[in-house]
Amino acid sequence: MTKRCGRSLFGRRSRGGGSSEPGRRISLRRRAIRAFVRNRMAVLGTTMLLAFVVCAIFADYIAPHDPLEMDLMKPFQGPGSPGHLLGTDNFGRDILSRLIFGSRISLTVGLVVVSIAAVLGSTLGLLSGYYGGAIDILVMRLVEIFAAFPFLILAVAVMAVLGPSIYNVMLVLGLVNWPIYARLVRSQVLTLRETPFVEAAKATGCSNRRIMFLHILPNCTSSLTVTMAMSIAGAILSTAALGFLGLGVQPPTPEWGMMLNEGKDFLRRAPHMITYPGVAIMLIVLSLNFIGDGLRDALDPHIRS
Amino acid sequence: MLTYLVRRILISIPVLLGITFITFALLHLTPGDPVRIMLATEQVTPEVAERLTEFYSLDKPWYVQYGRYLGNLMRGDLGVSITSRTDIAASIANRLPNTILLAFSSMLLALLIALPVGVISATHRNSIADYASLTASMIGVSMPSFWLGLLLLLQFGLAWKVLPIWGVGRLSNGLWDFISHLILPSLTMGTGLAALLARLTRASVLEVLTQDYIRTARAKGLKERIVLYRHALRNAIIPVITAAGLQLGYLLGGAVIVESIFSWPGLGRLTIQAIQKRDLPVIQISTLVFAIAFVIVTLLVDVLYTVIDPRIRYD
Amino acid sequence: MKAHKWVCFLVVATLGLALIGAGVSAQQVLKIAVGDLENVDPMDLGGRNSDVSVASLVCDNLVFLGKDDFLPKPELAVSWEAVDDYTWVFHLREGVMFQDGNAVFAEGEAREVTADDVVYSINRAKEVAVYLVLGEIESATALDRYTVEVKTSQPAPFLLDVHHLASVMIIPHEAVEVLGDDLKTSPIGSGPFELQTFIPGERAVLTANEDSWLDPNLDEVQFIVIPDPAASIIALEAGEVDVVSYGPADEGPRLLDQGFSVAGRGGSYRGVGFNVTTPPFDDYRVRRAISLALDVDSIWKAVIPEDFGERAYGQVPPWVPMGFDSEGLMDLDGYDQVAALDLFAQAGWTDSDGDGFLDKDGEKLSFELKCFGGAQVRVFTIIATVLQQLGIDATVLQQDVGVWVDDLLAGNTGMFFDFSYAGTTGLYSMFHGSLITQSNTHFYDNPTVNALLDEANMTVNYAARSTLWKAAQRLIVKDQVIIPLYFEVVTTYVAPYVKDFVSEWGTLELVSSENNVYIDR
Repeated sequence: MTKRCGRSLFGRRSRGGGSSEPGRRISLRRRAIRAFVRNRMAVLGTTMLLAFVVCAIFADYIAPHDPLEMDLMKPFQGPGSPGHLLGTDNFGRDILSRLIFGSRISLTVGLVVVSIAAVLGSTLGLLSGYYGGAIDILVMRLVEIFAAFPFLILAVAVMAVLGPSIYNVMLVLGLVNWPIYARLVRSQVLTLRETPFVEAAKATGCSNRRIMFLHILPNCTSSLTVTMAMSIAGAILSTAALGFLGLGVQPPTPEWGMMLNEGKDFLRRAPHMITYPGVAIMLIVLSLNFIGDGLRDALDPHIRS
Repeated sequence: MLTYLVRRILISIPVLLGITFITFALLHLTPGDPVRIMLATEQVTPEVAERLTEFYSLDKPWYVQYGRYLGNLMRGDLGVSITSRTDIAASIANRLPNTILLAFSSMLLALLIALPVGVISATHRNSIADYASLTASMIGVSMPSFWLGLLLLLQFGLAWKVLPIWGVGRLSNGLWDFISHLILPSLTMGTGLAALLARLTRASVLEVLTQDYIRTARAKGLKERIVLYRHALRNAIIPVITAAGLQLGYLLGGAVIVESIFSWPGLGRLTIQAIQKRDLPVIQISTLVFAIAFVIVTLLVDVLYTVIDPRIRYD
Repeated sequence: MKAHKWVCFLVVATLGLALIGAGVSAQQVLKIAVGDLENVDPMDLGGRNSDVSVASLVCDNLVFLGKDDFLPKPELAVSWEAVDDYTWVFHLREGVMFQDGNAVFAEGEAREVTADDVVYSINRAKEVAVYLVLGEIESATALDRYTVEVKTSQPAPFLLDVHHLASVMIIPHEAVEVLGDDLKTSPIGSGPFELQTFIPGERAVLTANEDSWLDPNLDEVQFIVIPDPAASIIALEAGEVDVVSYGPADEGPRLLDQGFSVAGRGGSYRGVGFNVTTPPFDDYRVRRAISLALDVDSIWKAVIPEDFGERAYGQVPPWVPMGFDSEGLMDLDGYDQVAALDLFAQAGWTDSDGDGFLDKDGEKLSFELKCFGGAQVRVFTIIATVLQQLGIDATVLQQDVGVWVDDLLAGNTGMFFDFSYAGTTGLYSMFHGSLITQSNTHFYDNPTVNALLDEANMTVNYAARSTLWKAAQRLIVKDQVIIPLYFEVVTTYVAPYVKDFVSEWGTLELVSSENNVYIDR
């Protein structure tokens, strides 16, 4: 009984066949990995992400210059100038080095914020959609309060009381983003709740928890991964927005969002100050999307190339 | 359905009250006082600071101030801005229509782009069209709005001079006046949104196409197009509508950066400046307006679910 | 045949003249981009520059401040004298009429501006204006139809200055009575332009007042709100606006190359300020050492383009008629990092544990540089980096404005950015002991300085006052209460076809005894 219930109905394959054999279950995982690896874009995405992670970890060795080192005599060097592959900013600091070191903070912020928001939001969304009733009302009102609440007031208040720091930025952004996931998951749950498969699972005695996490949640994966990938860009850009108002990452710390801010005043004079951080953010989002798509494709056996 | 609607509306009232209360409390906990800020930025002289503080009851305990605020609200008196001494009701009345216009037009643009692109992307998976739209989406979402906005201004406003650089168009000045002023701001706000919605549509359509009732429909011999539009899209659209609804809610709060770059007189800028200056009366009303808009949109979206997918029921 | 030809000729000539007329008159429209427009009640302007500009076109003041010397010049008052230290008498221009054809005065029913109107306006300003310093005015009386007597409670040599009497706009009492709240959107006065449209947050449109005693070349002036600095410059380059008020300094060099001109007058003082009661800054040696560690000449040029600023050695800026001192203070400046480290050592700060940072009694020399955006952040970024290299754990802390102000006034901030009070009351506001917890955020209380400033306040003679100020300023800088950095000039960008433009200083003068703006393409 338990074995049958434990098998995820992800993909809702109706061709049951050989459902409860343990051998079958292991090969599913291996099949998924193989499918993922065969997907060229997924591999590309993973490679790009790994490159960024490597940059983040080994920044001290990879970066050609100290990201904080100013050269007030040589500001606004264009890309390709001697010693500065991507040019320098208004303080004469090397942009490439700042990008490399910046990956540390931006990656962390993006991933942490989205993880907090996704985990918190999805859980609440699941509970809300599945149980309905009072829980639904309560959670949805919470969603409304948090989502309708002016994010900036929350940000200012948190920063004022706890002090402006990158950790508090992550906290604030996490608090602001979870409603998105809650609503998304809830809407999926509402649809799936009535399907025969869930009813069948219930009939076989699956616990509610199992149903929610093993059966329903995986079906939300595609929407979730897309949203999460986009959210990471959003989180980095939100950090920039907060930086505009003096909340969050402190100068001279290199952070992609802050680099965008600093470059804004020089859009006409030195566009490379904005272009490169922008491209970096784009590449991260691209890679995450590839990975997300790859994951989804790999786990859904209907889609075979 | 009617009882559900009434119930939702009634429940919204405590939500709204809750928001105003939390806003009030948070602002009071946060250091910063509008008169002192004006003092420090030389908008008032030290001699006057005391007089202003007393006039706006800023020295009274918070519950007195909150009570006063609620009482005035009941009477329809929205108050006066501390920093500019202008009537708040008039300010909001001037700006709210602009914000609503921009929000809806951006959302419309985003959906017009996203839905077809997403569907095509899903039905032609892994084709050039798919990758092209993916890359375009990434650009859309990773570009900060001020960058995109300024680039659009530089190209269409300065280099080619085909579109206006600032302000809201008025229908009384002609249709082109109205539309031309809307294009660039909506494009700026809508691009990132379109990207997200396109990807969501694609993912959702792909998801739905694997389901059994689709196989059944195909097996029944229905044309692919009917399968797609009548059956698949209906369900695929739900997460997209969810996201769109939530985003519309945010858009109605006003997009500060877009409003600033295109000189669009909306609520966003008003609110942000009020927060920085701690202009409490303005913040309170602005927040309330935003919250109401949000609650309405949420309600509409939930109702829309039932229309799209009759299986969804609210107990 | 001939008649036919004549008719053709007349038609063409008339059309031609009409076209030329339209062309010429349509050209005399000046469009100014501003950051915001809120409320143009002539007494409730709250120091918002663009609102002041609009109101100053609609109303006349007693005087305006000269474009080259910043000294008062006749406007509504043709002459004035200080009868004694406490009494001033103003003689008004005769035949000046308030604007008509509006909600207050019907067409043809306007009346003359008299001494009573001036008295009314001064009294209303004292009551309502929150940003003017009028406390020194004890009374204003109309001696006769065109003469006003103003009595002050103490000698007020700056009576006719920005934020004082010079900023009081003269309006008729009927305007207040008839318009009520609408005064904020449709004021009237006796000025050279009438306000036709005012939409807060969007734009203001003014047309020339044909009955004005001045004869403006311009037919129409438009103020257009463009909040984003980059967008306003794009509008300027596209020809959509002709002037950008308070534009971004960074664009200056590029715009100058393209033929635009900069018409800034006055500006601000920028420097580092210390709270002299907060450790470690309560030790003069620490403050002096920090000053010695900074190469101010390089620093300020990295923050704003060189053409739009000037190195500051004291707090009083070059455009204030007295007290400006640079040569006299240069000896107090210095850049010597070795000497700086030496001074730190004398104060007890050395790197005793070899971690690269100075410390004393086991505590690292560590503090935050608090600021809230804009150029401040740039300055402090540079300073923090330099100090870090020297061995001081200095970090930039960007705060929200409200929090910053709170910290500052509560005395929680040791080292901050001094950015204001560049007017004639700067020294007093920033450094007088009595203003601690108000505008003296340095918490500095030096009896000698206080005495000098008090005496200066009573001195009417410019030269004598200047000497007193310079003495006070020298003590302040010597005490290293501040590290003066630079004076930043206001950058108002003007298109090349706009002639005779003078940027605002208190009021915006598009037509006066010194200038009359016109467009010449």
